[in-house]
Amino acid sequence: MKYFRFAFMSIYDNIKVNILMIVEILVILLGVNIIVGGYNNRNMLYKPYYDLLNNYTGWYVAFDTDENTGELLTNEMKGDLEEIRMYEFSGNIEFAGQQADIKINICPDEIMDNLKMSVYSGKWETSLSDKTVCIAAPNTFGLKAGDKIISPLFLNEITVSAVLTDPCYLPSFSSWSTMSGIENFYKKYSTLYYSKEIENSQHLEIIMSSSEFSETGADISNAQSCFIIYGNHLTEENIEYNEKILRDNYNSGISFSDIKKRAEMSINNILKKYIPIAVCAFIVILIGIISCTAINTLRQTKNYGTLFICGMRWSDCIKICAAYTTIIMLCSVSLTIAAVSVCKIFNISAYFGLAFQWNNVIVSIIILTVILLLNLIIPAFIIRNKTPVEIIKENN
Amino acid sequence: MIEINGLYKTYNYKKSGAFEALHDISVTIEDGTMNAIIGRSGSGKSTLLHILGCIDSFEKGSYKFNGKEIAEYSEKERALFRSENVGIVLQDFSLIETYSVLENVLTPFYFTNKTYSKKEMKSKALAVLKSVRLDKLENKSVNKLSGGQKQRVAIARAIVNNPSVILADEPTGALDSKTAAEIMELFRELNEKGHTVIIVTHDLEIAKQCDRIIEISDGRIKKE
Repeated sequence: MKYFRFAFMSIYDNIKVNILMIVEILVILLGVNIIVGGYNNRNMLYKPYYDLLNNYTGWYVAFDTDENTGELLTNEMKGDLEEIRMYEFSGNIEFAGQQADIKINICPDEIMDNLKMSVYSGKWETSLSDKTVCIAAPNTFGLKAGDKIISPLFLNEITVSAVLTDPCYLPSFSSWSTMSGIENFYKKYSTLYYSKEIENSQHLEIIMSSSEFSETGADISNAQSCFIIYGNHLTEENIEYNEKILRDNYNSGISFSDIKKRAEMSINNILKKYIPIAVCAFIVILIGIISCTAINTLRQTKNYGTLFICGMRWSDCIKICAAYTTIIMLCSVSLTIAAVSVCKIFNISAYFGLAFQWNNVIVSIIILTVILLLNLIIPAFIIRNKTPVEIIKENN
Repeated sequence: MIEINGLYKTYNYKKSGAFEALHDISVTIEDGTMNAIIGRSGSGKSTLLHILGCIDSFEKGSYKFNGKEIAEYSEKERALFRSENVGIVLQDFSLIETYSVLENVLTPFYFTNKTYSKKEMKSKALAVLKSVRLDKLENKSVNKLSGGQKQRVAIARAIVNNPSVILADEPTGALDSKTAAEIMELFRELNEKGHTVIIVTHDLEIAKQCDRIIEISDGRIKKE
């Protein structure tokens, strides 16, 4: 602890340079966490589809794909085909003594199991053995985590396990009507989701897994988009033949490989675009930090000489430097945590599409370790090149 | 008791530009005495004081403190020696300017092996400040003190761990004659309390106030 005492002396002695250093580290941490947060958010959206898009070949149809039409088509198509379909239920429900129209987006279990969104309240639970659960979109109706949704059409009540942050992405695939045309429809990776803001919520919207919805015993209102998975051993000719049928009947179709390409492009773009900027900024700021550390160490050598005559070992100067850097970094980390918390509390992270996860912590630790090591190497170099006798003689 | 025998000190030892600062120094300093080391600038007197205070090392010879050979001490033991056995006062005071008077005086406690509670440390520091006539100034920042007051703080810091030897390198060099006289009076009082005092000075008037004068010239003891 005594080294922290002397480290505070260093900070107080050169307060302006040290504030600059705290700000520099804060800028690095915030910048990198924003990039990683953006990457996480896009990755989070891709993850539910990862297995499907990477392990299978197939065709995605983002249109009202009712099962009868689907059956006719699949009869015409070649090879074994499997369908993963999104459904929708619309109706009137009751919760907490009030009535409202609701749209339930019924998600295939395969996708729902890998889905994880930022929640505003409650806990992300998409399947529970003792009750039927759902995730609610942000709403102005007052539907909150823990509320029970009832309807004469349901055999049992549905419990809201969590409410998503505002704005949110719903795996609805039904953004057809919101897009201007087929050209734009798949341009954005986000079209696998329906972006919803609380301001535009005209009705309640929830998401449920197929298996959870089936527990209610209610009939679905209509079928939405569909992933058509081709079986193994399908030749290139047969794939082309199938896709021609799909294109002729659903002009809003796309192959899995194209969705995957676009999704990965969207994820990697953030890294390609911002990492060079971040690296340049990191180098510039690192030079700033090194300069500040060098100035600080040079200013402190007289005090280290004083501590030496009081009984400190010369090699212990580096412990003071380590304590000093730790304090500076703690200040920057505290400010970063405060900034991230403010972002989360005021939903700023949701608006900017940022998801803070464990990799944010890991990347931050790596950056802090680099800064700590540099902040020890520079003073060690300065201190090693000076002896206490030289410092005492310089000052006498 | 300090016993020095055949001590040599060369700067840049075994390197180009080597310079012999001390040559075959042999001297014994009895406990409880007040000694002055005099000599011209560059004579080696400060180097000898630095060696006595374990600030600097030497290549050849023997330095025994109360019968123990200092040359055999590890870095840790030498640091502890500086903290507990000697109190060092320098011409520029060597105080931590951002600290208060009390904080400066408390500093040696952080490097001693003796364990004190915070209360004990503070009461010892206050008692020492009183003995150097700086009571009521304990909370004042040292950068607001006069040169004489700063040197008193440096002396208080040097004696707070109750070392047997006080080493002072030109302690009055930066002070006017009246303040210098007060500081010398303080050293005399400490000597009377049983501390061995060794003062390095080029001022013969200051040296004359000590019991013994050791004159160094060109790294050799010229006269005692």
